[in-house]
Amino acid sequence: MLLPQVLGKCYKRTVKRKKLEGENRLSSETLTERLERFVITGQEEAAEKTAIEILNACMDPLEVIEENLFSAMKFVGEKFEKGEYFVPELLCAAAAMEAAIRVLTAEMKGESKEKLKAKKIGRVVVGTVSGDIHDIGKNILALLLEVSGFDTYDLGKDVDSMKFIEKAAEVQANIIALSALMTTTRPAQKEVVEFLNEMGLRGKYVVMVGGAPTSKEWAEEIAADGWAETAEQGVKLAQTLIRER
Amino acid sequence: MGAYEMSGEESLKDSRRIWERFLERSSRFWDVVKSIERGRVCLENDFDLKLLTPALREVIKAHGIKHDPEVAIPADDSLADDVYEAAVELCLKVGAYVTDARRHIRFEEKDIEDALEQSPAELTFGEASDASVMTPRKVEDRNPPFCMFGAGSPVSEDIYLAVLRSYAKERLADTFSGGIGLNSVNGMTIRGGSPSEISAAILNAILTRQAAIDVGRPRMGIHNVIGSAESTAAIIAANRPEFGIRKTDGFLVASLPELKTDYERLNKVAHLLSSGNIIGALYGPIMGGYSGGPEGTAVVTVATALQNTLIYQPHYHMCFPLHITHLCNTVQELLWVISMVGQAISRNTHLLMAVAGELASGPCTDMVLYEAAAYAIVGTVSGLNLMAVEVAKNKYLDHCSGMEARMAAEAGHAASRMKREDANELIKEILKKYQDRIKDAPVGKSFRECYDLKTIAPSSEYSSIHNDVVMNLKNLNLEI
Repeated sequence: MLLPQVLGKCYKRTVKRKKLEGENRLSSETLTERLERFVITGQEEAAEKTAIEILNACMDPLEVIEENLFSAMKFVGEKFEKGEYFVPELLCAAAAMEAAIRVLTAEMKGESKEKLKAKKIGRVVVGTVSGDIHDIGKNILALLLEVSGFDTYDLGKDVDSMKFIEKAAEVQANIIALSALMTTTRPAQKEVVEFLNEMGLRGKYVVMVGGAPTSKEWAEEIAADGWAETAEQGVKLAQTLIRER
Repeated sequence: MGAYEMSGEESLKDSRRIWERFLERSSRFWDVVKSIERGRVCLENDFDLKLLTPALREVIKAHGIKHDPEVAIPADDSLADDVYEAAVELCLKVGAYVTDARRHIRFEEKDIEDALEQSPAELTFGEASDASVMTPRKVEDRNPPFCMFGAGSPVSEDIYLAVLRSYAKERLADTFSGGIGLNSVNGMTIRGGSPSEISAAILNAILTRQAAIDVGRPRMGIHNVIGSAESTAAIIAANRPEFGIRKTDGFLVASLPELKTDYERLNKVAHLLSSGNIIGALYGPIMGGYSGGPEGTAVVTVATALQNTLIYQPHYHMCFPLHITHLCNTVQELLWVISMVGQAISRNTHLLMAVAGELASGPCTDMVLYEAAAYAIVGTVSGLNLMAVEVAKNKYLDHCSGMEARMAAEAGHAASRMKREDANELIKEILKKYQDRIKDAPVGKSFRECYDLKTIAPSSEYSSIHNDVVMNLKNLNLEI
């Protein structure tokens, strides 16, 4: 039984929510629809404010994250795959989603946080290899992995081979994903696999590779577990490799 | 008398004079380098999403630039001029981002005007009877394109010289490139930033000059001595007369996408300004990336040309706009981009510009020859010169040969007698031959499988495929 003070607080929030909805909505847009719109259109500040309103309206943050935020990002991801949205739209939408998630998870109870964490498919450490400063493909992959249910740790570009392994150990990753855009830097992908072998850690992690000069034959040559030509294929590959483990 | 033989005071005057002469030749470059220190501190992500993206959307909207999925080669001069004007505005709004300095620098309109005016209007590669001259072209120019032959696939060291010869021996090659990726040196894998990269660059230079000698064109121009991904140290190591490299040979300096640079690239320019070699500015804006769709990619490509003219002081430009997933520029949208870039640049500047064909399929397939023809026709009619061609997405070992470059050059030469409208109708027919196969483009055969390693001639199979494609193109009214 909730205390009258809490009940009263929620009632006041409900009245306030309806008033806000009446003032700021497009036709009959609900708060969650508005949040989805701001994520899809990449409006970070507006998404953050709407997330606060959602909390004030006593809505379940876990439900909003799972049903509204992830579906908004899935919509954006599909548009990107069709070539209707491009990298800026993808990144702005992701920034808006993250801003909303930060607000919503701050108010989440421990049990809900555990539920959210448990729904993660796996943990991926991703980066562009040592000596390589190209990162567009890697950025897209990291983003799509995140919205597909992976916990993603993006190490950035020009990442030392040992750093991938150290981070994977730190976060107990399942997958190490390596991107290279030049023939002269793709040997670093082979180096990560060699380091894992020599440290007796090869069986602990799935290694997937990608990037312009890489191919299925290259992945086989260096004994990686898989290769993907595009970021979208990378997500499917990660899902398959996790299932097979 | 050398400086070291003079008295102390005289040698000081002489070295000062040498230094001042060097600075004078490259004063604009050093002004840009100095300006980096005064540039605004900025995060890379903010440059991409808060500066470049909104500015690009704004200029596209303001100039009403729209891609037509039915027309790869628009015959609309005002559209080309709109793309150019949009690019100038973008260049002025956005400037350049220097990644390792974390600074953003801006330019004035006068900077762009001065840089364009001072750009060379003619460029000689090679020497004596092997020399060739690159000139700017116009839209529907009846002069054939300047054809720079080369590729970017990794190639095994045992056949590297043979592959290079296959490009150098082609009669339509005005220059050729050593930028094909040597895959190993003495069995050692080449790793960027390591001594293996240095040894590979040296061997690359030596073998490229050897290839020219072997085909009877000893002083032929090498437009790019080593791969553009190589470090400044590799360029310096390879750039020596005893390896056969001359001032009439060049090196490409690649930009970072989009509209970015860094000290590594600037170091290359500093060295090349000192050595006196030909500097090529290389850039491949990515459609689907920060450039957005075809409209943005066309504008960003032209803006990069202007920005690179300012920063790198190149003698010539080589662009290769690219599709983010297909990794080629032979789909309709990218052919449109190539055409718009060519028309915009050639109508408004005298920049020496070539477009590099990026083909999805591999050697010894009909598809690769159709792709080569398509991009070459579009580039030629739109006022560009040609860099022919990178094949099979540069992914597969030994998958490249002079035959693909030959096809592109033949088509380009034939297209120099065409009007845009006629070329557009031809492109529509050629696209039908391959566009629906782009996603699963055939890798084709390796050089060993489709060339005779002794005679460096295409196999009878490849020759037959070439003949069939040429016949089909003739039936489509290309006077090849």
